[in-house]
Amino acid sequence: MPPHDELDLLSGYLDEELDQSERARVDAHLPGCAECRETLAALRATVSDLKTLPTPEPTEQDSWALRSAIARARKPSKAWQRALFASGAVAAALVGIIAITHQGSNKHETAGIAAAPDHTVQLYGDAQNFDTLGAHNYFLSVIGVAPTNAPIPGALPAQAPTRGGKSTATNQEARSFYTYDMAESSSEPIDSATRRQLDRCVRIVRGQTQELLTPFRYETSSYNSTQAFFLIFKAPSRYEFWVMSRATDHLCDVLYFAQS
Amino acid sequence: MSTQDDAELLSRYREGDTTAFDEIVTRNERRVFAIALRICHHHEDARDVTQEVFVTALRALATFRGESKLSTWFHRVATNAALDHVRRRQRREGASLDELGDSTDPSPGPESEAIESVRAREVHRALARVGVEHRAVLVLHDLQGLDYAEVAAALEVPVGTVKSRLHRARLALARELGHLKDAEPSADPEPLR
Repeated sequence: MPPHDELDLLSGYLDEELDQSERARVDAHLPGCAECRETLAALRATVSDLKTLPTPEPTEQDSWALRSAIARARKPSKAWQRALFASGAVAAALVGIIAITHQGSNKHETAGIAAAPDHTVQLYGDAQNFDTLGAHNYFLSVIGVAPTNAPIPGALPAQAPTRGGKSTATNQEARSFYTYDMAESSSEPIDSATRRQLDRCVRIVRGQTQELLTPFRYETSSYNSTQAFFLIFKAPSRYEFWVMSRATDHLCDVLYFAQS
Repeated sequence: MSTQDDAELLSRYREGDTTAFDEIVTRNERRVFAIALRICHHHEDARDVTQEVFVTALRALATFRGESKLSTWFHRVATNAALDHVRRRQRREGASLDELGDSTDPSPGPESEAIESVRAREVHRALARVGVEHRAVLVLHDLQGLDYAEVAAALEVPVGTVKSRLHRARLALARELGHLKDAEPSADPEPLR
């Protein structure tokens, strides 16, 4: 058989992507060329086979993982950057409100940073109104340390710990509650007044130390019946947990502090 | 998605409206995932590629000049990311340059389980056996429905290259699916009787 470059035009012919002269050539060539007719039929069957493939859909877990990856990758918002570079004036006003370190958790120092779980976190106590033990266990669970039943020394204000019900939440279920990257995530936007309060509290926390504290998680909840932010920061070798009042007349008072 | 919608979303994103980016994710996630899965063949890889694409977008779209459609941008970035992912995997695992093969996929993931038709499963496997460059052009044209010019923009090659590459890709897949006999001349022809 003589060489025939019409063979190479057959996909374009099938897709109607040939110009008029090429198309006319193929039309004229096909009746006399069995090889080209067979190839064209094979191409048709192949394209038809490809159409049997369903369009792959991401699963809910894929979508959740994607949004988590985006939240992690987001740069600090402008508000956070402003907070980082803000003057220490407000922070100075806080001198004297000394946070109390929970000595009992020091043993977790090396268990540390890398252990933060992403999938399952234990909830203790009333999720809408944490008592001291509940708040502390919230912190431990977020950083991947086993919860404690021991009374928390030095908690402010002192209160007999009361254990509430225990529940296990998957990442997705827990999302609306506390699994919220502090890097701005608009999947659950917060209102601007809350954002300003949050910025102020973070500015104050950062004013307490020369170390770089990276926002890790936050939650708006209630601590011993006071509206509060639960703020977890990553420091170079540990986590810090700050519970700060959101009540207007005591905004950013430190209600509880712990570190790992 | 219209170009006008894209432009408005991008403009909102550049002005700091982060909900605009979430909207961009919602609109393009399925497209990116589908391209990634068909090129990579592995569900976990497709998930990684999809994340990589949108994390790239987070930065890149802040300076996107809108000379091409946003969908074209996603086609291009998703295809490149998926091709890179496959090549890295092949280098790591020493697999054949052109074949993923089912043996490299111990856990095909929910997608291949969801393929109920026997023929579709065969096509799914055959697609994994053609070269990755061929697979990319088949995915963009025959599965995603892009025309030649759009495929050329996504692959950053001339339309003529798309035309010939798509043709060779279909021939390769046709042989894998048994529609064509191997066109390569036999190195050891049958002796004349």
